Formats: sequence, C-alpha cells, structure tokens
Amino acid sequence: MPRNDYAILMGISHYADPGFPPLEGPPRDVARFHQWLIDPQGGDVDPQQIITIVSPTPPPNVAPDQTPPTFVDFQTKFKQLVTGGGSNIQYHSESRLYLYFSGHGFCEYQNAMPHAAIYAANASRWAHYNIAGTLFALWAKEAAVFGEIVLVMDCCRDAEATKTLSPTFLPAIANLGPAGHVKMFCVYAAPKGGKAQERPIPELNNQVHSLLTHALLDAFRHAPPDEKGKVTGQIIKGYLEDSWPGVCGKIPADPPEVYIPPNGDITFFRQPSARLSQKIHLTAWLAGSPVEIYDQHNQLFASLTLPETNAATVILNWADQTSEPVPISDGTLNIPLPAGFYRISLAAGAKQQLFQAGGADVEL
Amino acid sequence: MSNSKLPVTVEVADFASQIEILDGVFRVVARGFGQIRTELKPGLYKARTQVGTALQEKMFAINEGVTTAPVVLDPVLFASAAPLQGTSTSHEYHQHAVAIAVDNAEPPLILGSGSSLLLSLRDPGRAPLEQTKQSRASYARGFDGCSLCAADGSELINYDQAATRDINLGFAIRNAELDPGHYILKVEQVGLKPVALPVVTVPGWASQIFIQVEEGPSGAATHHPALAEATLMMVPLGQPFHPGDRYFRLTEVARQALQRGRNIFDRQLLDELLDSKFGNPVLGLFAAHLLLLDPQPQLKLLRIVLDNLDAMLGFDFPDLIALRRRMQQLDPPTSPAGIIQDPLVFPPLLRASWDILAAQAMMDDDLMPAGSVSRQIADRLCDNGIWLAWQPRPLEMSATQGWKMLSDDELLSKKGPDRERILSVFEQAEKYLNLDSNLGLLQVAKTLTKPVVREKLRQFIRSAAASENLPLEQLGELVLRLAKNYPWEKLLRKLNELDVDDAISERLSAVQRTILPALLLFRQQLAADQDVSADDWKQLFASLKVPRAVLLDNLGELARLAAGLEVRQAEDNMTGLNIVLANADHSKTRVLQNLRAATGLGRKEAEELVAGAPLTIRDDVSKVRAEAEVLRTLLD
Repeated sequence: MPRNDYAILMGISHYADPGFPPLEGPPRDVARFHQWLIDPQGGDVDPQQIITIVSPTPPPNVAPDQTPPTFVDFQTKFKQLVTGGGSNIQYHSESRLYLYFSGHGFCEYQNAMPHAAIYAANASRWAHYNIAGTLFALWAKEAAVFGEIVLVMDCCRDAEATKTLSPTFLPAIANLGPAGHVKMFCVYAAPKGGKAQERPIPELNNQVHSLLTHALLDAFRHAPPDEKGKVTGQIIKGYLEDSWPGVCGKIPADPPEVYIPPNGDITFFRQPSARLSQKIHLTAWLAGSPVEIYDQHNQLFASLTLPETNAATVILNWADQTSEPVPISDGTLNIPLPAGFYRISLAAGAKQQLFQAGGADVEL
Repeated sequence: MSNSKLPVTVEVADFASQIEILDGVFRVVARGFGQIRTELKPGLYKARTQVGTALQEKMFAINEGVTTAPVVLDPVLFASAAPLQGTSTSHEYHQHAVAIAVDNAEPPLILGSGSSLLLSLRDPGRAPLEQTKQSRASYARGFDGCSLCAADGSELINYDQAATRDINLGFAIRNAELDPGHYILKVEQVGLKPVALPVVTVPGWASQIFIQVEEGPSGAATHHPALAEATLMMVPLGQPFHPGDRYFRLTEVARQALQRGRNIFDRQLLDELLDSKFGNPVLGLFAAHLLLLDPQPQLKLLRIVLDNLDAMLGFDFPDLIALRRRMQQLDPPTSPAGIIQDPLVFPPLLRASWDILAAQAMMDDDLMPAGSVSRQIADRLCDNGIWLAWQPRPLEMSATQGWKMLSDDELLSKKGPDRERILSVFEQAEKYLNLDSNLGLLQVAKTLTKPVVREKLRQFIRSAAASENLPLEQLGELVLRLAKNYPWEKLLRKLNELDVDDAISERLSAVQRTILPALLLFRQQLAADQDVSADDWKQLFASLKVPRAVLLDNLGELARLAAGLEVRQAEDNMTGLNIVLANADHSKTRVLQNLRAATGLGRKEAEELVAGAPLTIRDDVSKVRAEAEVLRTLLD
C-alpha cells in the first residue's frame, strides 16, 4: 500500500541582490526530486500532496524586497500543510514529510546544532531574509505532525558570524512528549562552513545540476539493502559518502553531511536497488574457463563460463538459479551488479581481485 | 556462513589520520586513528582514510580459517601552509627557507627576548614559476601588507621591509625575538578587507605562523594570504625546524578536523599525546577543543590536557582561560575558592575559545574589562576559519558624507525639544499661508527634519546611557524600542541605495549586521499584532555573544544610523517637491520675522535658511496645503 506522505520542495534560482549570483540548478533539481518522489519505485508520494515553490521565470518586475519566493511564501504553504488551512494542527503520525531546499544558503557560526538556511529571494546584504529549513523540520518534529521527516538542505553552509536564522514564527509547542517518537533524517550539502556546488553533469547531457541532489538521487536508486532487505538511512548515508569522490571527479567538493535519526533509523525502500554497470576486462581470454563473482559475504553471487572470443554475449548464472545474457566487447564483460563489494575469481582462483560495483574497471 | 569474528589490523602508514572500515552495504563498522585492531565477520570490506578532501582507500577480505595480513593504507597527501613532509604542498626550497630563518642562519630581528615569532608566507603552487617580467611586481604584492603590532596597535615589524623574500620561489619569511606577551598581526592589502589576528608568545617557546599565498577569488589577478587556512606551530625555543615532525603533521590533521567540527582523535591517540606532553602545545589546544565537540566530553582527559597546557603556556594564556571556564561549566568546582574568574584582557587565538568566553560575556561584566583589546574587538570579529580575526580599525560611521551623525554629547546637550518646534511650524502653516506669507516654508521644514529625527534619537540615547551594564530585560526593551521607532524597511532600502557609493556595509559591525534583520522581523511581528516575546530577543542576544556594554554601544550606533538615514530619506523624498507659496509678500524682513516667530531660530540661522529657499509664487493655495501635509506625514 502506498504511503500517505507529503512534501514541500523549494528551489530559489534568482535573487534580487546581485550579491547572490543566479543559479541554474535549483529549478531542475526540484523537478528531479519531484520526479523521484512521485515515482512508485522512488518516494511513491501522491503528486497532490507535493507543494513546489520555485523562482518564477522570468523574474517578475517587483521591488527587490518583494522578489519571490519569500520567507512568507514558504511559511504560508508550510502552515497550510500542517493545519490543512484550518486553525489547528492536523496530525499525520503515520506519514513522512519531505522538506527539500535548494539555493544559496548559510549556517550560523556559533550554533553547534547541525542546521542550515537558504536565503529567500528578497534577501540583501542588510536584510538576511532566510528560510531555516532545519528550524521548520525541528518544529514539525516537536509538534509531532508527521511520524518521519526527511530534510534535504542543498545549499552552501557558509559559517556566518554575522547572520542569524529567521525564526519560524510558528506557535510554540508545549508538549514535547510525542516528539520523541518522530524520526528526522537530515542531509546537508556540505559540512558547516562548506560550499555546495552545482556543475554540468555528464550523465545529464551536461546540464547544470547540484552535486548533492545528483548524488542523493543516485544513492536512493542504487544503495544496497541490508540483511533484512531494507535500505535504511544509515545505508543511504554510507553510500552517499562513499560515492562522493566519484561524483565529484577531478574537481573535489566539500562532502555532504548526513544525520541519522538518533531514536531509530528510517527505511527508504524494501525493494531491490537498481544495478550498476561493471566492466571486467580480461587480459587473457581463456575460453571455457569459469568466472565466479562472490558477494560481500564471500558467497558465490554469479558465475559464467567464458565463451569463444568472437561471442557477443555470455550467459551469466545468478546464485538464485536465474540467468541472463551479458554483453562482451573487446575482451570486456559488462556485468550489471547491485552496489557493493565483490571478489571476482578466474579459473578457480588462479586470478582474483576485489572490486566495488560501479567503480573503476576491473583488469583481470 | 560463519558468524565468528576474526582479528584484523588496519593502519595508515604514517599513523596520523583517521581510519574507517566499511562493510558491504557501506556501513561504518569500525573507526579509529592511525591504527585499528578489531574483529570482523568473514566478508569483504573497505578501509579508508581522509584528511580534508584528500583520500586513500583499500578493499580487503576476511576469510574463514585464514589469518588476515595487516591492511596498510598509504599516507594521505593533504595541503598545508607549512612545508611539511608528506603533504601535497611541500617543497624543499621552502623547507630550506624556514630552516635558515629558524636556525638563525639569517639573524632574527631583535625586539626583545624570551620568545620568538616566525612569519612565513609562501605560495606552494606553480604561480611563482609562471610569472613574467610584467606580472611579477603584481604577483609580489600578494606577499605584502603584513605587520606585527603591539597590543596597543603600535607597529613593531613591517614585514614588507623586514622579511626575506624570494618571489621567484614564492616565499617571504622572517624570524623575530620578542618579549613574551600579546601582539597583533595585521594584514592590509589593497582591495581586501584589513584583518587582525591575535599573537601570543610564551616564555621559552617559538611561535611559527605559516600562511599560504594563493590566487584571489575566481579569476582575480592578484594573490593574497589565505589567513583562514593558516597554520600555527609552537616548538621549544631554539629547536631546529623538522619538516617531518610527527606532531606537526598531527597538528595539521587536528586543525582540519576542528575546521570540520569533528573529533577524530580516539582515546588511544590522546593517551599517547598526553604521555609525550604534546611536542607542540597548539596540538594540545586543538585536542582540547576536539574533546569538547563530543556530546559528552571526557572530562578526565580534558583536565589532563589543560593541566599540561597550563604548565607549558601559562595560566593566563587566553585560550586556556576560555577552556578552563568551559571545564568549570561542565564540572563545577566543589568550593567557591575553586571558581575561576580570570578576565580576558587579550583575545584567544582560536575562534572556538572566543565563543566559549563570548557566550559568558553577556552575563559577566568583568570578563572583558573596559579598555581591554577583547572588549574593543568584540563587535568587529570577522570570519576566518578556526582562527579568531577582527577588523583592525574601529568602524566610523560619522565619516560618511551626506548623513553625518551627531555625537552623544551633542545630542544630550541640546536644550529645547526640536520636535515641538517643528510641529509648531506645521500647526501654524495654514495661518502663514492664509497670510500670504512668502516664507520658504517647505525648505525650512526640510532643514528642520533633522532636529525632529535628532530628538527621536536623543530620547533613545538618553534611555540607553543610564548605565553601561543594563539588565538584559532593559536591553530587550531597548531593542524593541529601536524596532518600533524607526521605519527599518524603508531605511534599509535607502541604505542599499547609498551603499553603492558610500560602502556603508563595510562599516557595520558584526553585531549590527545581526541585529538589523532581527529588527525587521520584530517590526513585522508587531505589524501583524504579534507580541515579540522575551524569548525572541533572548535568542537574538544569545547569538550576538558580546558584553552588554558592547551591545549597548551597538544599539546606540544603530539608532544613529537610523536617524541619519531617516534624514537622508526625508531630504531625498522632498527633492522633487516644488516649494510653492501663495501670492506673496517678498519682503525679506517679513519672511525672517515669520520664520523666527514660528521656529524660535536665531537670526543668523533663519537668514541662512531663507537665503537657500527656492520660491515659486502661485495662487493655488490648496496645493500648497497639500504639500505641507505631505511634509507633516514625513516628519511624523
């Protein structure tokens, strides 16, 4: 049964103050995140329950301090979501709330709590109007409106000694008891003081996107399940951190920070993750030799027998007795594998190597 | 598959960075520093070590019935401002330059005795080798602008003249013998904001500051010192420079960890450091702050670290004052005699130390004594990585043209309530118009706008000047008055406008920049009939972290800023108004009489006003009235 989840996605690409250069990524990244949310294989969220707030295109001709989206634009939608337009909070304790923010951002230097805010589009050097995503998520947690909260702050976290988070201006929560059960999973694009980056992504026709959203969606798609078949927050965190250097390529970027709920992890999926393409280049092609691939537990995962060199495919036999053809080209096998660590063995262990699926080509 | 675990050792070759071991679903199953001895289930794993963005990783297998060979990771080549061995930014010629300076092969500057300070500026990139005849002079300016000052600001060393330079190899360096004490390192370069950093030299210790010179932001041609990434080492006086010193490397790893806000040191490493009493006390300072990053700091370890540092650096070392006060909060002394109340006369080296003290300064008036460097800089801090830094010159608003501020004395000494006078002008305006006065009324009103605003400001300053250490509640009331009294939305728009030419933003203190958006938000709350609660301004004060006297000064400055902007705004709004008067009597004497009667101005002042008043004579009296009404609105 699909979950009854909710989301607010905010992407700010144009700012009134020229001190904030325009961004290309936020509207595209909001669109990508939205796409993942409504995908039954992804977030599986009802599109009617997703609120999207992005910079209008072209930017409207208004006074700089009225440039949308503003703090009020977000706060109004948020209040509407948690009250259903009425005066009382409507509780969705079995649901998850996704809060996604993309734009220029910062965090408070003195504040030790993990946090970030994005600048509202009408921010200036004087009026640091901002939307502190963390504070809204924390309010939703304290109010126990939702059972789970997933916060994504895809913005810089310049540690500002001279700027403060805007309060939420939401009613104080008197009874914090139920908040203890609410799980909050947070992803920040950079560590405190670090920079988020957007850049052309080769896999996306060199369109400019944010690195974090790209890597996070990749993690959602590929992170492997644990022994119980669950892709948990901890696994998403581990996969994201591990894949980060590869996502950045030759130009390093500050790594994301992920916070797992201290009161118990959340589960993103209970379905097999998408597979990664792994190239295995055999320096000496020994037709008839067995090739075996072992998984992270050192258990046989897949096997094949090398055909003649002119074959275009070979049958790969999985450990669960199923099989499928995989292509061969120029002595290179192209094998789809779930993310994880593997050992490949040629000719009963005469040659073997450890590798990570989706990583560098294996030379055997 | 067996569930029995098997032993494995994972280490990084130089034993000087954090290691993590990941299982097949990317969960961290073990973590440690330098070397991990652990037990793992049979399976495939990955070990990785990282410093900054530099990374080393290696996969390994644990097989049942097989002894796993130690997994050894290569050292991580990270960047450092110091020319340390095993970093990605090391050059032998830079190491040689430091060795010559430290070993006194080149005589140091003698300005005292008992401690020393080495300043090294170097560019480890390719830029020094790529300069042409044309570009070299411009490039060399990246090494300029450093000076060492006494705590009172007087210059002691101008490194532009004193440093040994080789721009072709990209370095400037000089060692100096100094009396132990407090100094300020200033860096002032054209096109960059001037920055000051604290320097504390200690008897028997040599301080070594390494600063990397790097290319300016995105395509800027000039180079500049990267102060936020600076490295500080302290070694016993007279000790030669050892670029391979393990403590140097550990200090750099710890600095980067502190920058990331993550404690990477484990118990084993700290024990080792404690045994050897920190070859570099700066490592001890970092270790103490890293310990404090833990949700539940190991207080016993922290106390040992502090005791060791006390012995090395002295009880009055500013960072130690901060750390001991924090320790006192975490582990309160059992008797009043044990309570530490040392004042902070000079700022600490680390921003984290400052934050400990600043959080207490709001409630402890003696912590940063009046006249101390700490008090003076409390509202001038600027972002500089883990190191404390501030803008060296006081912020001077009064120098701005066009909306000159009045001093407190000037405001407080004024006798009559100007507001009353100006309002009386408008009360009589209709009468004047009916009398066909040709007074340059609007121009007069424009001039008198300033006294109106001035009166508003005077009242604010009076209420604030009662005591420098007002209770927090009264400070909260002042903030709310400041929010209510001035139309900040309009004023900040004006400020943005003026900033283009006047660069006012550069003159606002960090405290003022923080308060300004809060004032706007408080006004919005008040406009929406929502109360601004004590929690709101308490939250604001908590984020400011300055002594109350400094906060009060800043509130006064903001009131003055608002007053100046309000005058400027009123003047600009009136620029487009025609001074239109009804059918008139052009007698100058009559005009002056009317003006003085209405305003109480002196003869000379009234003559100046009338002389400058543009006049247009029209019969349309109702329009004139309307314009006067516009002015009244502006002034109210």
